[in-house]
Amino acid sequence: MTIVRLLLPRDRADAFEGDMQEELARLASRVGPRRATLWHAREVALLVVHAMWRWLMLAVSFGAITGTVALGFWALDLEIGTYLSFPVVILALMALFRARPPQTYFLRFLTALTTFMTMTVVIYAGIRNLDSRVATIDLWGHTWRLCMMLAIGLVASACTALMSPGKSSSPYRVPFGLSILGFGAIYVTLMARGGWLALAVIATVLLATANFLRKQDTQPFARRFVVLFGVNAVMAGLTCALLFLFAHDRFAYRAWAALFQNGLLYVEIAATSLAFALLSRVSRAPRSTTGRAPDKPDLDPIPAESARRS
Amino acid sequence: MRALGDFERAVLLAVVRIEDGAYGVSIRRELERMLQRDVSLGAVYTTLGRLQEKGLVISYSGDPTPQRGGRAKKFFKVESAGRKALDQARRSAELLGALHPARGTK
Repeated sequence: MTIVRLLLPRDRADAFEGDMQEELARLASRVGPRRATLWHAREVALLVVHAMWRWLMLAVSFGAITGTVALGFWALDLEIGTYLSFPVVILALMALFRARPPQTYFLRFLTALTTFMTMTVVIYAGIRNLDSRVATIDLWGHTWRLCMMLAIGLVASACTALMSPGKSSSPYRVPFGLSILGFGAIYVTLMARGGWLALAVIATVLLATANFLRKQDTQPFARRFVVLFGVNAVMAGLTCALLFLFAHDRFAYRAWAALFQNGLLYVEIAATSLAFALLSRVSRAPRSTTGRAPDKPDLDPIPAESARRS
Repeated sequence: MRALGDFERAVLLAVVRIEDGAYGVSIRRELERMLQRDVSLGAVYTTLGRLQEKGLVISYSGDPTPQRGGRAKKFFKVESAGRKALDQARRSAELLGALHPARGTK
């Protein structure tokens, strides 16, 4: 019954399993255990269909539309369109999940992954048919490229689902998701030779994390600093690792490695973490934990005692 | 207010008809009686989840029982917004029904 827990929130999954057991016992006494087991399997299969089909249909159509638009940009010699479509899809999915949240993390993840892969396949198939240079790539070349895109899609979808609203035990899911998405964006911008754009991405991710920490009323300064330092370090470390693996002949990697070697990167990470931790200081009154509005101050210009005396 | 789908309306109506003690199994039985066809428990639960997100029903847990493997029942109740949505759906159906040419008349 693990699949039930992936598709329904915990309390509803428990109730569903209880209902199934109740019905199964009733059916087994009437039609026999074999037919009751078949009924049980059919019910679980129908739950899977009912819980997933809306999201899958939405994901496939959304992915196909964005993929076609990106392909249109590419056909107009605006290659940036194919790169831009990925962050656009992630942002659009996050907005969608905020407006109409799927009930579980698995459903959010599946929707994001289906959208991402549909879009990738549309773009890839389009370029494969339109660009004569790509026609020379053999089957193995296509396979590893698509597997690479699947791996990126898995990570991006996991982060998108993690950052979208839903019941989560960890308050650090947003910073973690931001750092992974930020790292992806930095790598893409560095590959597109946009060094300054990469700095803008780092600043945006840190600003978003600081804003999240401020909204969460993360009180001790040290905790805010550690979270920001973690986000910074994950972004820097992963970018460096990926540059080393796939682009060690590029200027971006040499510049990055030089920063690492002379220790400037550590200073940069510590300094920006410190600055953004200070920036995320909560300046307003703390939120009421009971959900009630804080008591209004007594604005009566004449205190009750003096009014009675007069 | 978001429009209700046919099945959503049927589930909402089933919860209203059962009044107290509407949970998965009883809602499903009521739906089968109302619609005269098989209804899966999965469809009932996903629809109830959507209705809850729309703020049309609320749920609360009962006590766990041994017949259910120690799992609690989840009871559902229709909110005032749910009753309003049902009324609105009924009015729209009546309006459309009035516009429909009656059978056997020219």
